[in-house]
This record gives sequence, C-alpha cells and structure tokens, in this order.
Amino acid sequence: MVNAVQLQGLRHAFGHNEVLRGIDLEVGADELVVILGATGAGKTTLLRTIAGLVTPDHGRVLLRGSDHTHSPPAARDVALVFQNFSLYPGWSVRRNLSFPLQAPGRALSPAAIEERVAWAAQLLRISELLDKPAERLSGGQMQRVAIGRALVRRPQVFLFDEPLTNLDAKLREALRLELVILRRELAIPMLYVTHDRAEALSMADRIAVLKDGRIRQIGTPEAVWAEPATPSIARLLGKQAAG
Amino acid sequence: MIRRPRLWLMDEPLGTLDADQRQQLGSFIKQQQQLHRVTTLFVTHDQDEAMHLADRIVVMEAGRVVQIGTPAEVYDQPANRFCAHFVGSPGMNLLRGAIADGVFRSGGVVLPVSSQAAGRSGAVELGVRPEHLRFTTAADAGGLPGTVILDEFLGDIRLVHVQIGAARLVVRAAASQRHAPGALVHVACAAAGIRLFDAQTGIRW
Repeated sequence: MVNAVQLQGLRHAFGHNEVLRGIDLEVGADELVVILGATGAGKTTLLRTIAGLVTPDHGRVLLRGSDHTHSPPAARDVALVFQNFSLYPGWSVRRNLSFPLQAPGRALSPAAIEERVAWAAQLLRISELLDKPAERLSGGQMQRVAIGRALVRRPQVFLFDEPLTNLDAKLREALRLELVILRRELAIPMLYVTHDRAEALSMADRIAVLKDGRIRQIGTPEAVWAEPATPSIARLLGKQAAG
Repeated sequence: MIRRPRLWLMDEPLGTLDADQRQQLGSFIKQQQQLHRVTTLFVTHDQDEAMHLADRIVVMEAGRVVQIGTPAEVYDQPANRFCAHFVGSPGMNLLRGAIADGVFRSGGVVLPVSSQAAGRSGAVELGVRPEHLRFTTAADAGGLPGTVILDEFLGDIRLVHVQIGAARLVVRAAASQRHAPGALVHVACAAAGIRLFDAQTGIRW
C-alpha cells in the first residue's frame, strides 16, 4: 500500500534560522506517527509543510505517492487541527461544522452536509451541542468541535498540532483516549505533534523524535522507550536514571 | 524569588512549559523553598505537580475547600468523589452501585466489601485506584470477566481499559504485559484499595 505521507530531504530556514535540516519520514496508509520534541524543535513547521502552509526550501512532500510540494493547501486533502481551537464564536456548533463543506467547488447537497455533520457530531459525542453557540462551550467541547471540523471533510490525512496542550490535565487524559478510539474507528492516517511523552507513548504506532530540525530516532513506543538513542531522548521520555 | 520575601505566592508558574522543563523548574522551586524556608502557596490545576511539590495539598472544588492533607493522605483517603477522581493520573475508578449484606453490586460487578461498609447498606459509588486492580485467571475466585478496550503503553507501566458489564475500569499493568483490544480478561480487586462514597453527597463513608 502506498504511503499516506512521504517526506524526502525536507529543509527549511526562516532567515538564518534553519528549522528543518533534512527530514525523511513516511506515514503508512493506516498509521499514527507521533512527532515528539521540545518547543523549538521544528514540529509545527514540519506539519505546515505537509499542509501546504509553508513551502520548503529543499526536498519533497509526497501525498499518496504524488508530489504535492508546491500544491496549494486546498488541493492536498489534508486536515490540520491546531493547538488553539479556532472556531467562529458567534456561530452555532452546527454552522461551525458545516462551514468547511460549503466552500465553493465542493458539490455537496444540503442533505449530504447535514448527514456528514451528524456523523461527525455523533463520533465526537457533541450531538447535543449542535445548536449551541461556540462561545458557550467548555475548552474540551471546543476542541472536539475543532476536530469535528477537520473530520467532516473526510480528509486523506489528519495532522494534529498539540491539540490537547491548552486543556487541563484531566481533560487531556480523557480526550487522548477518545482520539485513539476515534482513529481506530476511522482508520485515517495521522501525524500527531506533541511535547507530551504520555501522549506520544500511549497513542503512537511509531514515535519520531525531533530535535534541532532533525529526526533523531524513530520506532515503536516500546522500542524507543527500551533503547533511547541519546541521553536527551531518554530525558524527553521521562527516564530519570538514564544517561 | 530574588527579592527574598517571606511569602511566595505562585499562580501556575509552570503551566505553559514543556513537560521536562516543568519537572526541572518544579524541582528547582522546591529546592529553593526548602533551602530558604519560605512559606509558599502554590496554585495549580495539575495534580501531578501538587503531589510532587506540596507538604500539604488544599483541594478546591467550586469555590470550596474540600480536603486538606499531605499528598499521601489526599491520594489514599480522598475526602469525596471529586478528590478521588481529580487526584491521580488517571483518577480513581468510580462505579455506581448499591451495597446490601456487605456485597457491592453494579451491573455485572460483584465485590465483597463487608469491612469497608461496616454494616451499612444503600446506594454508593465504589472507588478503586488502577494499581489496586490486577489481571488474574478465570480459575481465580473473585476475578471479574471483562473485555479489553484499549491498552495505553506509558513506558514504565501500561494502563489497560477494560469493559466489565456496564463499567469501564482502568487497570495498571506491567509494561511487559501487552493486551490486545477485544481480548477477554479477568480482573481482581484488592480489598484494601476499595473506598466507598455516598451516592448523593459524594462524601466518603
């Protein structure tokens, strides 16, 4: 099966600051790969090159086997969920969820839109909130709606940029589980960026450890935990005694 | 800190940091606090942080103090169901059910609780921490049959989520003990780990 995402030799600099220094990475057709790294490691820039929000200086972005390095975001069929849930506050949840489906060029009937919205709402357990204005939701509910807004488009690839970071610890734990279960039901490939080792270890099929713009180690959570390649990776994973 | 006041008030100072920085700076604050012997009131929503840093924890819920105690006391003897669920990652498993004749029942879960119930009966919530549950075999008396929903690897341990009747329980298991979703398992509960909370008020019996 063709890889959902394939990155080849990605390099990117902002001015003199080289953020990505040669990234090669593959995400399989039904794989969840977690990019684990500290703040400033290049995680967000990496996601943005895949989503089409940043064009890399060098290297290629392949999606389902075809070169999308220079295609516009809309042509990529990729959904990105941000750390800051960007909803339209005055709109109802239903309107927030329908909006991505009403873009010009998406030939979806009102009935089909209604059906997609109901489907996503049910998966994310927000059906009873559909008529509430977004500004009246709790943080956890807002992030569910933000995920729902990505979900209704039925993207080929899901990109998550620290989606749980702004939530409190209890909610983070609960949503982490929901994401794993959701992903099992949907079988959509996901690339998930975080600095939280518990999220990385518990959610990932494979973890890619990013530091200073390079992938330092990649493997299953069990393998990376058992044999961290460097002392700094051991620390990132919370192994106190290692190194 | 540099002003060396007699009281430190800290309002989630570590909230926005990465995990490893949070741990380092937390330890630093604690060291400095002990070195300079400065009375410190530290506010956080992160119960892990509270457990690591505090001499005593004050648990607040909706504008009220619901428990004051050492980290060990709050963890082991939570004053109510809120403390039980809030403290610990994950929190205490909580099951709604009823006690009659020293036996707790809740949709498929049957547990003897005569020592904790001490003769009382009625509607309760039973709490048990993930480390007080363990996997056992079908032959072992008292093992509750269930189905694995999810296995979360966390490095040094695993958290295995198991559906037992209508209840969903988190079991803390050895990192080497992998459980496939859908697998049939039996879960045993250590009697010493059981806490009972009033079904109406949430206060511990």
